[in-house]
Amino acid sequence: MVGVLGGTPATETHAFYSTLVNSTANSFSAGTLNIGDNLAAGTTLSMANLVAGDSFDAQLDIANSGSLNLLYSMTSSVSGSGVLADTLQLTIRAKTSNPCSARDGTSLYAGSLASAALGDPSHGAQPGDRTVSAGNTDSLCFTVALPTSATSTVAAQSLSATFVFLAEQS
Amino acid sequence: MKLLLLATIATGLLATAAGRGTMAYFTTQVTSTGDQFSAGNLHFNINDNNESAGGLTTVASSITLSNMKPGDSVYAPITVTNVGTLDAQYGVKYAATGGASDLTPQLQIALVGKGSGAGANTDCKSSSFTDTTKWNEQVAPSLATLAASHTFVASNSAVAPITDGAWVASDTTAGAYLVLNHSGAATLSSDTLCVEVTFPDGGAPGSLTTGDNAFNAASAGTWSTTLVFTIDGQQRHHPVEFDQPTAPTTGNY
Repeated sequence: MVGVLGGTPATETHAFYSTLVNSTANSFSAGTLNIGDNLAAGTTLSMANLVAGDSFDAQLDIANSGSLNLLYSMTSSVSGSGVLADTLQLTIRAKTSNPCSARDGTSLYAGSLASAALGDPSHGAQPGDRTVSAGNTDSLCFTVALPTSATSTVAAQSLSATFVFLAEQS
Repeated sequence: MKLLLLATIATGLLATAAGRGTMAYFTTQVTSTGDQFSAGNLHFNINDNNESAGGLTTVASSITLSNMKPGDSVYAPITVTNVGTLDAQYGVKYAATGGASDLTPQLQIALVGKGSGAGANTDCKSSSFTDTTKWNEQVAPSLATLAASHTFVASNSAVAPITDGAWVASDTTAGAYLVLNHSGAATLSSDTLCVEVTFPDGGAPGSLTTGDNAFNAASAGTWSTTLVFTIDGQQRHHPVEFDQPTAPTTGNY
């Protein structure tokens, strides 16, 4: 008689109805953020033996080769002649359908080469930051000029400028 | 011989006395008929935003987001319906499977249920996780790091909720189960869960390879994870009671 009573609770447990439904294939994957340019450093944007009144134009393509939209900023640094850096004038424009020599794009920066910058490299979107959607390219036109007002203090001076493009997700 | 005869006479007298007593008893009888027993059934169906057909026991891609970047969040409702004839208690759990590179530890998850709240499925959004009016079952409203597997609520919990369809603080610590009444019930035969998955923004990385940049692979999707949510239920215990007897108007005493 004891054995019969002991077996009863176990039987009830197994007799429970149960059911189950699933939500499957809920997937999450990270994108990529990559920025590139089409310039070999130190080649296209170099010029020598400048005289007052000289200027030149060069195109710089900023490519978004990642899967995420990005925004980027630009900072610069110069080494060499500080006087020349303060004297050389840089204008950065958004390229239009015309070649950069047309100088008809929206001006993004105009000032001395020494303080050239676009946007703000701080985290998040700031005024001046440029946006490039995934797979697209932002073409910039750089115009560097040695003004006619340049004095002899820049004669025989030289400098090297480095432009750094820092991108983040937009 | 004399002795044997006396014994026989005594027995006969006793038998006669007993027979008279039995015939003097009153007897009566009533009967309860039609006491039927039939097996119920317990079945859940599930639906989500992209699969709303009836009768589904599995849905896919209820909540997905590809090409994620730090700061991204995605929200999705998952609706479970009791189509059986028995009241049920249910639980919720998930299992995560990492991809080529496992994104699981970088993601966070939160989950609330509508329960007896007034929320519509379209209310599944960021504010749902603090809206206790529309989303009564605040099961796990705060974002927590995604684990390889986790049980939000155990279906076999022995702890009943304080109030069916609502979640109170003490339920959280007690691990009370969730409730789905049978398909013919006026309330709580269907419940909607609102799920959030977030890739938190870790701020500006210190370098191109540290911080969130560690998950910025050469190609999209290298870092990934896949979740399977399971909603399992079991019958909810109800004591079986006979109908209450009515007081007799006449009777034998």
